[in-house]
Amino acid sequence: MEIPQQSLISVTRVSQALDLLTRLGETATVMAGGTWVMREARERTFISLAEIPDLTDITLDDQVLVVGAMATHQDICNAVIGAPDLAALATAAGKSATPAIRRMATLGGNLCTRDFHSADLAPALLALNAKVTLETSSGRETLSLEDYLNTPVDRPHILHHVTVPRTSRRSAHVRLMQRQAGDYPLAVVSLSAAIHPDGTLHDLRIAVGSVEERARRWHALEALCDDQKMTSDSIRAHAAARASQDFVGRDAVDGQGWYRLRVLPALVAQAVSDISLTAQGA
Amino acid sequence: MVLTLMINGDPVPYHGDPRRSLLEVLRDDLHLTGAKDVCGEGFCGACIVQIDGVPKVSCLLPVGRLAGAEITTIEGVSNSETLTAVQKAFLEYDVVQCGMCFPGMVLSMTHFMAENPSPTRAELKSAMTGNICRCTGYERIIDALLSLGSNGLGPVEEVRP
Amino acid sequence: MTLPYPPNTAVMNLPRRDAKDKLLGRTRYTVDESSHGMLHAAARRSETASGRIVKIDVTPALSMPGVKAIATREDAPGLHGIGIADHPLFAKDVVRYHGEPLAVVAATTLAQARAAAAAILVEIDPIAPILTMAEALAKDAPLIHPDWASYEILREGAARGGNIAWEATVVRGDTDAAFARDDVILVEGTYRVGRQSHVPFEPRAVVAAYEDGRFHIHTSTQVPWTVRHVTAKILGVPEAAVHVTVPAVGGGFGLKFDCSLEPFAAILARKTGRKVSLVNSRREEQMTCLSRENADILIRSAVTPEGDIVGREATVLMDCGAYGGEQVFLTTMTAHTLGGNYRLGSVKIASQAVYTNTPPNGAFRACNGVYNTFALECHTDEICKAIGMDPVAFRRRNVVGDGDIGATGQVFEGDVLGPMLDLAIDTYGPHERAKKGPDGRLYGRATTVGTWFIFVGPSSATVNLNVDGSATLVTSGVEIGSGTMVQSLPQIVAANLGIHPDAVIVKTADTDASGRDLGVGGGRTTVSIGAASQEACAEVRSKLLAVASQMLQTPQDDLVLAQGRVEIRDRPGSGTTIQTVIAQAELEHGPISGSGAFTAPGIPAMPGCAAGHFIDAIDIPVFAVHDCDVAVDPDTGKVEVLAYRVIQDVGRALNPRAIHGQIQGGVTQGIGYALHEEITINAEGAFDQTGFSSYRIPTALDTLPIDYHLYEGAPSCGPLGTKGAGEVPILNVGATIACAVANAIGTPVNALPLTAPRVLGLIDGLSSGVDLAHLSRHWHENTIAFSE
Ligand SMILES: Cc1cc2nc3c(=O)[nH]c(=O)nc-3n(C[C@H](O)[C@H](O)[C@H](O)COP(=O)(O)OP(=O)(O)OC[C@H]3O[C@@H](n4cnc5c(N)ncnc54)[C@H](O)[C@@H]3O)c2cc1C
Ligand code: FES
Ligand code: FES
Repeated sequence: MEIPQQSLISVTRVSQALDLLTRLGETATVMAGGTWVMREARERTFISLAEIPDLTDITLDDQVLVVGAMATHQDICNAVIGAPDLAALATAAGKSATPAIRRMATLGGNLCTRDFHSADLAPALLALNAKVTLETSSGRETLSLEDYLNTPVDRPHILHHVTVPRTSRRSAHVRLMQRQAGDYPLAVVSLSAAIHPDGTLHDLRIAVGSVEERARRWHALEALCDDQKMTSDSIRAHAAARASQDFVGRDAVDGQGWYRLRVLPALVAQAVSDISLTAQGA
Repeated sequence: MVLTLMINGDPVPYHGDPRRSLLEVLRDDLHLTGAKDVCGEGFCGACIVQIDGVPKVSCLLPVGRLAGAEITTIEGVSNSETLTAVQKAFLEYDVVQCGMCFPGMVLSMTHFMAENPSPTRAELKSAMTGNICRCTGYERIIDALLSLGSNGLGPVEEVRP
Repeated sequence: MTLPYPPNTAVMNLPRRDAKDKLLGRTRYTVDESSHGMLHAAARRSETASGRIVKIDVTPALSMPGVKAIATREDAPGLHGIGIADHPLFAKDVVRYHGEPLAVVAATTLAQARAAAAAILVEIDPIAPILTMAEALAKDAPLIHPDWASYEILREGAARGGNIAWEATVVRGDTDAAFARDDVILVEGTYRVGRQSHVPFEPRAVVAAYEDGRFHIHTSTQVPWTVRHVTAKILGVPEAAVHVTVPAVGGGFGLKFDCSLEPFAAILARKTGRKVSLVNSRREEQMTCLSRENADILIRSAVTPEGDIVGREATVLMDCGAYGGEQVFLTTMTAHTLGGNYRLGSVKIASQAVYTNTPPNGAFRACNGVYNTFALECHTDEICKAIGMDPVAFRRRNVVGDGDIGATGQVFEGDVLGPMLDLAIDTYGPHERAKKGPDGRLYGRATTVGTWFIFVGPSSATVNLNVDGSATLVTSGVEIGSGTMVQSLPQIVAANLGIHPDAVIVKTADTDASGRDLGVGGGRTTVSIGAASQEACAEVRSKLLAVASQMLQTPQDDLVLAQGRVEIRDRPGSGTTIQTVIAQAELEHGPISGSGAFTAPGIPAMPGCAAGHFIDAIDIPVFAVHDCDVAVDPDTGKVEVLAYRVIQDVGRALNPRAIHGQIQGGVTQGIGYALHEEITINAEGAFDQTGFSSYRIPTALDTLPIDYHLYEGAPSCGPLGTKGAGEVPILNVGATIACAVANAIGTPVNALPLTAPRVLGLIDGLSSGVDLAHLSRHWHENTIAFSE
């Protein structure tokens, strides 16, 4: 394929995007919603994914949720709102940023912008055990979101879609900002759990965002909660004991590391009580 | 890159770098200065325009992606004879101060009111979080919008507590 | 002066005439100006906070595409300033702050101008910067202005020296004796506040042209006459060679109360012979914002067990940044904002503007007042705790009333604060104990008082009565968003002339058309321009009525102006239209116009009390009582304001709805100041917060409907007894929220903003407090004038 002498190239197939990425290297960047690259990377060649069919598709059935990389926060929120197991995702997609940005920023942009440390969708999808499907020049691969976030994929790739298994679990997403809106979150906790008929939570999956450079699961805390009857107070105590061992708080202009760690136990407790509330409601 | 933009119903040829923001093109090339360049990074909403009827921040929209889209700027939503209901309410409630945020405010809230004809105060406030105003403190703008809702009070003379 | 018309004819909720175009996106602010052939300018700024300039070489930049001219320090050798001329337009031999202009480039496009500005070769030998006032005041600190003693003094009488740009002091009575009494309790408080950025939605911007040997400066400013004066001084041209016009201004809040970008654009316009537009990028606007200054405050009080304040000593350090600027003037205000609320047996106040290698600060809505009120009211609550007295009762006992004297010995007229406090408690109920709610949050309340004043000073106005019965009001007033120019002024003129406010045309500011004026700020427009307009109207009336009196064969005293007609008193329909009288007047004398002027009436202070002050006493005090409820989340430190109430002394409310808008907006800005808006200065001497992503101004979810009561009837020399109402709403917001938070968490608060991490630090007992080791507890040791 001949490389068009243009600074914004709209491709219609994923393979074209990969081809261009390989050839142009550092001088090019993928553009999804544009809300990051328009602020950070204006001198590079934009490879726009907007004209690729199917990438905005979202399918939701009893078994699985599949979200295309180009689905916006708003699209995702509209699709999953009301699904009890996906509440964390609905909150992450529906409450982050601002209404106009939610109509523009995409799932792919949120998960693939490695310089962005406060992504909301990342911890929500970690708590929901999501898998990502990538397209690379050597073909399609599917891996857990956790692996994708932990180990940078350095080869040119396009995140194609994300798959979330449907369950009878409950989930919640708690984000802390200094103002009531308009900030990137300083710390995020997403949590999903199985709820036994007696109302107790089990098999917790806890993900923490914005505290470090990348969202990640809080396995140590999950282990402490394993097979225990967890209340929001008991989990808070565990979280308080573990937070500074398990995380190194990120110092940045919007907030200091100590503060991000200090609030984590309360956010975890909040997530647990949110889940318990929805469980009672359901 | 050469492309045609549809702005307020008129086809407008564009020749230039497709990565430029719609905001720059509107203001600098077309002298449509209603959309304001305030933060340049998506936070304030002063540059909001409607793309196919949906409010988006024009500072983060590259023009190269807008061929074929219907772009409506504040200049295109009304003329002075036919203000929209939202503009009328803002006028009647005397909520404008310096005015810089209002083009974006009008375009955002017109869309929101069309989708949510009877919003609550809390819903209106959430919907307004991407439209920052440094002057007014918002609440009187909300009062004006509440008056439009189907459970609104209708334009009332200000009652002082 | 008795009014020739019933005052209530001037009172109405007149809607703004500029709202429609603003809603339609048609209003053309300075940033919207463009014309064929207009050049765009960009600045090259220092990225070093302190250093010696080795080289500025513009040669490579000059030959870049589109570049038409470059201006540097050679083009503007003079110094300007307030009180002292310490400020060059471009850094001369040294740079003193990160962001200081080194050169400006005019080019065909903005991108070309920016590229060329970046291509200028700059070499600076860095010097370790002094970034805090503590460092600046340290013994043997290097001098930021080694030549301070040789600067031209623009106003005599202040002590200066070292890194202290200006000192204003007040000494009344014997505080030593008061502190030595054996029946008093001594209370000491130390406070620190950060900077606040105005973030006007329209940044500072100007379009300049050089036509027929004169400069035409079209600019976003609050002070057209200051721009005229300073531009002329910097360029070394007669003031008459500078013509300033001002369209609608997209927000000012005090930031535009100084000359800023105008001289740069003027120089480039002269060099190129073309129109030149210079607009700050948002980043530049933030990084060089003439912010509300950071301040360090020490207050010590001697209080009797009954609750009398027999002695008070205070030192207020105001960071002026690299150049004196507004802070030199603002040192004056401490006497009134810190010393004008409570009766004090004896008082000593030192207020100093301190140089640092940081961006210069400026004026911001209720400048100096917001943090002095914060410090004073926190201190007041600490006094109440120390002597075991109810905070409202203590305030009620001590607030200044009729015949009481202020810090500088001026005598206050009328009981205002006392009744306002009573009204607050009657309306909102007595304070309950702070408590923990069922939601786990900590609840608190506070009621505070504040003293502000109207910055009067010279204004002028001309009123032309037109043949169609309309009137044109010509002043240098600027519409910055507060509505004064489109609401209270036409209301005043209309009431005077018996016409509808819509028939009053308000000319936009133009220094070639209108007389001198101090500018729009300090809450002065309605008062000063209003008074001048009223006087202009008096001349118009008397000319009009003289002719009408002949026409109607009725003595002038029996004629009234109403509804566009001249009527014989109590006989509606008996007279004739104003147009008829104007036509007759034209035949006899020519068109009717009048002019009016106003200046500060000059209330006396006690001789010998104040030194280094620009104003010794305040002509129109303005009082405010604020009350709020907060809830604090002990898990996160987040503060929620649950209710906010304002009782504001307005003199007379001409347009209550517009005042409500100012209260709602001003309190919201105050909530930002109190809780969210934080500027931190990094090791490079630059602000960390470079734009909206990090500088947090309140969103719709961060405010609440403000409950308000307009307190009318307090004495004022303003027209119809008005006082400005736009500035004061922000005055006690920081104070009230801080006191309520302290009440809720049971720990004193001594710093703003109360960001969630700071509050959590207080709750956790981690905060080390504000020790102010650089300030002596022996007041005189902090001063230049009184140190032995
Ligand atoms: C005002 C504002 C507030 C915000 N607040 C929040 C918030 O609170 N929470 C939150 O989570 N986010 C928030 N965001 C969004 C966030 O900062 C990013 O801008 C956004 O996630 C980027 O998405 P995008 O689709 O616009 O990506 P783009 O800007 O188009 O791209 C960003 C990066 O992602 C890569 N990329 C995008 N899609 C793919 C793909 N399919 N495969 C491979 N690589 C890809 C690109 O190469 C590029 O480097 C906010 C944004 C703004 C402007
Ligand atoms: S200028 Fe686009 S959102 Fe602020
Ligand atoms: S009215 Fe000035 S920013 Fe909203």
